[in-house]
Amino acid sequence: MSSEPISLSDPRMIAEFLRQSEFKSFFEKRFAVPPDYAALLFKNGQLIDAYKGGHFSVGGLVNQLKGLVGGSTHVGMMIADLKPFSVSTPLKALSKDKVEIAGAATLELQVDPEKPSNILGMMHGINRGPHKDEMPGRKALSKDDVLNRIRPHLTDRVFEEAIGRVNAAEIRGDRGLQDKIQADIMTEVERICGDIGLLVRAVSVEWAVNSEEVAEMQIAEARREQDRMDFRLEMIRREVERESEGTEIIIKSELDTAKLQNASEDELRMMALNSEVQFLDAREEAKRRQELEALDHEIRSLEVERDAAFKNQIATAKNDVDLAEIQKRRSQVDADIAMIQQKQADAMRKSGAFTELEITTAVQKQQADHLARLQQLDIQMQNAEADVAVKMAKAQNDHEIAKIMAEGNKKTNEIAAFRNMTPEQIMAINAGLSSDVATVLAEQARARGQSSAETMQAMRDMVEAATAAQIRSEEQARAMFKMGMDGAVGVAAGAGGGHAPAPSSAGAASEAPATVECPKCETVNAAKAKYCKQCGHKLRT
Amino acid sequence: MMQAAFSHVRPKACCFRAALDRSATFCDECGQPILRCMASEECGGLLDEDGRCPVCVAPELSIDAGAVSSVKVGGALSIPLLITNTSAVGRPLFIKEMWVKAPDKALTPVDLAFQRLASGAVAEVSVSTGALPTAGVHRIEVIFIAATRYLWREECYAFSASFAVDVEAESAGSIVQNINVSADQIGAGMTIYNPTRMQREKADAPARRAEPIVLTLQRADSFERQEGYRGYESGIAVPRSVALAWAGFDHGQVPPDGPIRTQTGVLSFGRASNAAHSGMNDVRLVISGPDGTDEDASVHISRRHFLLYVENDRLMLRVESQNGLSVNGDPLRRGETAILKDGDVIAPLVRRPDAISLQVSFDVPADEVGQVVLRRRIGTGRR
Repeated sequence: MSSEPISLSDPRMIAEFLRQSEFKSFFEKRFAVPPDYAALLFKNGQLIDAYKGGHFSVGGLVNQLKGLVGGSTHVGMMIADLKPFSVSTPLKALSKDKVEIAGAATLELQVDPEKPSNILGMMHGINRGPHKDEMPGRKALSKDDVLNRIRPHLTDRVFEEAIGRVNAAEIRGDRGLQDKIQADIMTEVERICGDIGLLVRAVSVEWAVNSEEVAEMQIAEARREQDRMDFRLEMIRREVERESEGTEIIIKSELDTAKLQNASEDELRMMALNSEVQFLDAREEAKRRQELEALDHEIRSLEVERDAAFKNQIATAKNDVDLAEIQKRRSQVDADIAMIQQKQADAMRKSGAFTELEITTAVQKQQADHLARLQQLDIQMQNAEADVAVKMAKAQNDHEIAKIMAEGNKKTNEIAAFRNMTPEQIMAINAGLSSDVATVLAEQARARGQSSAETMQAMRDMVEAATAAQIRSEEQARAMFKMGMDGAVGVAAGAGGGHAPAPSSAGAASEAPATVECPKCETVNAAKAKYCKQCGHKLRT
Repeated sequence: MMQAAFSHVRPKACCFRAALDRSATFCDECGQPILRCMASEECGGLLDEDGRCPVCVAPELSIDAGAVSSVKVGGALSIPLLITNTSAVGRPLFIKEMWVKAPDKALTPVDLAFQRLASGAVAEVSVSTGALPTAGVHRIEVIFIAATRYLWREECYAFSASFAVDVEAESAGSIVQNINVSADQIGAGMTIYNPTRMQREKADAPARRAEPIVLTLQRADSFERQEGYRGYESGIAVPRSVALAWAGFDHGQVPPDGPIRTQTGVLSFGRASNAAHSGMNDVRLVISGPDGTDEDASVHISRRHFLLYVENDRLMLRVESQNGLSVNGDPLRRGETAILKDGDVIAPLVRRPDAISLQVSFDVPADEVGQVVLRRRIGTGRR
């Protein structure tokens, strides 16, 4: 006998109690609950167990008889869809920059397959339809019921909070935000109905276009329009330029149209010939004119360049000779430029492409410009001359000041040096000896004298002798006293008055050796080595 | 589970300091012989107490992230492992073989698609436990042979690591249950057979490792000897620091007694003068007697005849002479190597083995050879 599959009566449902009438029959019936459904079995209103799929054998006379023997028991069954399902809810919130954001959140939900019995928890409080009569004995949970249950918890706690962190223009494509919303919803749903067996598998939010984005779109559109216009303008401008080049000739022929109407055939022919010649002439002239204009431009730039060069030279000129040199070269260049200008004017006249007025104006303009530049150069030259004078005066002043300062410094240094000197040294320096000589004399004096009075006396004697002998350097001073030195120093050292020099022959004998030779293999090892590096022989205990 | 990848005794800092002097053979601080790695030219390493150069041979074994570590009784686990060569000096490592051992089972070889592992390289290997018939926590052992090579020489080391897998017993929930419920309100008995218990399925999801787990590697020294990777079949080993003693040689022909002191750990034997006389050999090999060197007879000994060195805890010989030589009468040609054992006799001249021979004898206090005596014998064949 084949099994009859049981499924939910409506695809919008997720859980449903089975009607008992479906089980009642005279013959045995078999039902199958598919494995993606949970079947909850109740006995006398108490949940016995939950199964994921299963086959059921119901009814029949034999079982009925068994039931009579075993007593009366009420058995009920509920099935619940364990497959994930998708619900959608609109959302509205304010972004960080206070723009209204609208969108739709799609939630992938699922009845927790590990806690199928908890579906009962979700059934609680569900409205089972307005008319009980229409669905006798049926109790069901729809997908919308589930959404309605969680929706109030999502608006402020999730959407407002998450969207309020970002600006309207940055919301679209922000996967981080989507992830945050998903995580928050999961936490929220876990908090609300984790115990009653509802899982959130995934959440995605689709955004409606917000006003900020609309504004941006309009700006982008306007910018594109502007670019298009700019392009067209540029095209038109070029068109106009091209046309204007030919206009001169067109006007000439247009002037003749009035004449044409009244002309005879010969006249017309003549006119045609003339206009053709004129046309050619005009082209020729226009060409020459362009060439001369180019030449004019070159002259101007040459002039400006030279001018700049002179300016530069004047600014950096160091003295009068330089300035005179520059002046000379400038007048030479002036003459050159005047000549070029004259030539240019002649050429313009000769070409016939310019009117006399044009030529005069051009020449006048050139001369005026040139004059202006010359004047400017003159002024600069004068400034430069003045600068040179000022600089020289300043240098002289500086020199004077430096001299005075050096004098002052010398004094100060002397004073500072004296501070660290013994009275004897100061005395010697004051006596006109160098400080080095003074040092030698002072130590000699200390070596010889025992009391400070004696030292001073000895010092005086020596300073006298040194001055007389014109001792200038330390070597000379030492040489002067070399004869009696050792004895004197010896005495002084004995008296505690100075340091005895180290004996010159004492060096090598007292130095510790840097290496040691291994007695076993004769390898030379470092002195600090405890073992021979070649044979491992112990070198030290 | 996370531990240092290695537990070994490194050479002392003073020895490293002393080793900076390339001519040094002993540490001038602690007096220990400086045992350089055969590839010290490249790695600058010293051998640790296990005879391993920690610079050249530094494998790391870890269980890859996402590995499943529990299984039902009767199931088999396939564990993804990562082998890394962590040598810092660019020395390649050669993974020669690998085995996996489950409890109460023999070693099962693992198919390796690679052998050479460049410095810093990571290789993935998958080891299968086979069916695990009993429940409980089992230790799965992985053993592999890592080798380092330099010129013709090769040092092999066995390492083992183990990890625990949880084998779950079949749960009661999986027994087929039939529930008979009678209900006269329905007017029917209800039989539910072979339902799948959903509450069980939660536990069915296998445990997974979230991140790679570095396994502690242990030198498998007894495995090395049993399987013939290091040491001798008899169970003894010649350590790199073994002392060599010379007997029957003329004065000045041999280095001082003690461990091999050359930087590469190789002693060269031949007719040419030795290092003491600025020659190319460490041991001068000539046929000589009380009345001096027999130049005519000695001329058949090559200027560099053979090399002696310690490799894989064995005393090795490599023939350098064009004429070859014989060990215990077995001729060897140039480039061939032989493992020298206690009592072996090296005859440099194949045709006149009696003219000159070297006898090798081991002094074995425990399972390690403490001293190798090389005795030169000048035989009756001498003219």
